[in-house]
Amino acid sequence: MTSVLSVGNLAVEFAAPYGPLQALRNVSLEVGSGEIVGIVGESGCGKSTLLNAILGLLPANGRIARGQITLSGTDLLGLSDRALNSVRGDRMSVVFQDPMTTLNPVLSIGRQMTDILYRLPLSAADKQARIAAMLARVGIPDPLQRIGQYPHELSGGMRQRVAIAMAMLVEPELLIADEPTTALDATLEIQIVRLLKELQRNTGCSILFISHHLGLIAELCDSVAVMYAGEIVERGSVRDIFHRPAHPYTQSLLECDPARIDEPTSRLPTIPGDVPNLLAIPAGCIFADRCPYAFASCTVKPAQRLVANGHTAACHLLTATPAHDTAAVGS
Amino acid sequence: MTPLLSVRDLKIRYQVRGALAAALTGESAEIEAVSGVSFDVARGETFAIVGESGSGKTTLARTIAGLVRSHSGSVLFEGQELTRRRPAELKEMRRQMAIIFQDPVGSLSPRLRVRSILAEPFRVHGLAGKAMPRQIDRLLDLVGLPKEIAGRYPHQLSGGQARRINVARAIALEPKLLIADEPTAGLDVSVQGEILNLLNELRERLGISMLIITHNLHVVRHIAGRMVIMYLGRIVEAGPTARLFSAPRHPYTAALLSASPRPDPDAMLQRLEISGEIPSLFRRPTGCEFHTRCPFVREKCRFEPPTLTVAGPGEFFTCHFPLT
Repeated sequence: MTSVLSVGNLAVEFAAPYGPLQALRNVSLEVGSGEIVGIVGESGCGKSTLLNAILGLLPANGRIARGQITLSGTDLLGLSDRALNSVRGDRMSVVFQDPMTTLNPVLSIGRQMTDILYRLPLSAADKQARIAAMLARVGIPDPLQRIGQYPHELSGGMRQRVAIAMAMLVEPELLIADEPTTALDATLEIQIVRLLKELQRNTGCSILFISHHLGLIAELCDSVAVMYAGEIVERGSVRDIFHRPAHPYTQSLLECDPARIDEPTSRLPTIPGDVPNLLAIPAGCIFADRCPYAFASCTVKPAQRLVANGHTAACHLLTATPAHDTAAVGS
Repeated sequence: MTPLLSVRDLKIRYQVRGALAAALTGESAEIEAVSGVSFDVARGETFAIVGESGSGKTTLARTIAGLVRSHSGSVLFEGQELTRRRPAELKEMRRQMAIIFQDPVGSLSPRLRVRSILAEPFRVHGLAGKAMPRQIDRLLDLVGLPKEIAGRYPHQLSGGQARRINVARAIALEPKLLIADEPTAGLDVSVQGEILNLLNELRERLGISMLIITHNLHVVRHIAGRMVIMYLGRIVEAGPTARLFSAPRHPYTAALLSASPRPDPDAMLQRLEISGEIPSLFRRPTGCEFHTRCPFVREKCRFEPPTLTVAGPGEFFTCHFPLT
């Protein structure tokens, strides 16, 4: 499988008053053609930093210290701002968490969508037709009527559908969805996930789906990367991660989800302890001080080890298996 | 024994536009956010109100706490009517009844240290004295936080810590009822469990009754003995939590349950999916108000509102064609 997005050994640092904050360390990730990859992790694990690094939207105090990011062979880190602009919104696009703040409140839906198509040599009427077709495709009834409406006239679910329509309008190779359902009710979350799956099937694009919601990841994704404190601790197919989690963090995270506990209980499992301070990264395994299985070897940084075909985890408990070279980046 | 809290046919209306605007648009000036809700909370139990955004659950909680005025109906706390009281009388009642708001950081003053935040309930009720520092240590200990945290400001707290401070402030005056509006919203799964365990523990140790308002069914399952499901300001189903989870009667309950599935890539085969979104309160659907989204809708549902069917003590539903 050729990869559309390839992130290799990425390290991102933020300048902070007490020294560099190492927000991402040695992150490697592949998104294959037509694949839906989920990134799951709790707040502060670096999900959003990874996304911003891919999009070239890191804040002024953030810098990419090491690593590569390529989109279908194009090295995104070597591009000029101008060239990057033509990649964003053409070859890759993004749907953010809150559609109310990502849509412009003072422009009509139609106007905002037409603006995106500035690159295309089409007549205004053709653009309008294309927009209406895309709105219909994301499940918005009476699209021609909606084109003249403003974001405040739409419900939350409809707004997110419009945001998805805008992202898909440019027929991107890669759609990045950053917690796209967090602001929505459960019954709408499912509708949006269904829509993303359907769009992927019809257009063949790849999707990088970022969420803390395990249920949605299980429902939508083909493969999953689990992040903890700025590192990817485990990667594998969706069934590997949910049925055979190898890393103790993944195991604890799944155990904590009340949705997976069948018998009602008055004491829910938790992960004791806190996320490590990213200004003073521990030398060994990043999860060691919260890990129920920590032992002597955990003071040394574990390498990514192969658990099964396509399933890797960074944990010393897997020492029986040979070390897996994650530095190899597909080109 | 009388229930601790008893809500009867409560209606809450908001005026959302002026009379002129209403006349011009032909729509009513008011919406009824809560429309004839009745339930009881017994002493020592955890009771849950579940619904999606716009179902009226937060309005209901705020009315019980005396923060929003009701239009009609009654709220009885230990047999005493709360709805038509003067603010001074309500203040006394509020010692018995505390509320935790949805936004854990937003509901703590950014300019006060944790110490002052926790001392405030005592000060408001004229109970502050020399014992304050000891009280604050005790409260922090009850919610499982170290004493040192008393010197911090809210922005220096994590989401879970801020939530614990909210709980500590709410239980400061040893209320009989704790109303928690979305106690786990915005928290990571690993922290969610901690807060729910804390609430369970406080109920067991201090005998505080809980009224939990949430949209998250998984939270309810592990904490509440009984629950009601709200849709467009009305209760569509009520009963013991175990019963509603194992055999829901209302299609909306069933749809909510299947919208939050077990995270398992192989377990999503039969799902009851509902289309569309919650309708506007200005244009309530005719007949059964859920008929516009119900997968089992029949002709009768479009015109005839279903009556309340009682299935057992504290167990009822409003549906023409219940699932079980």
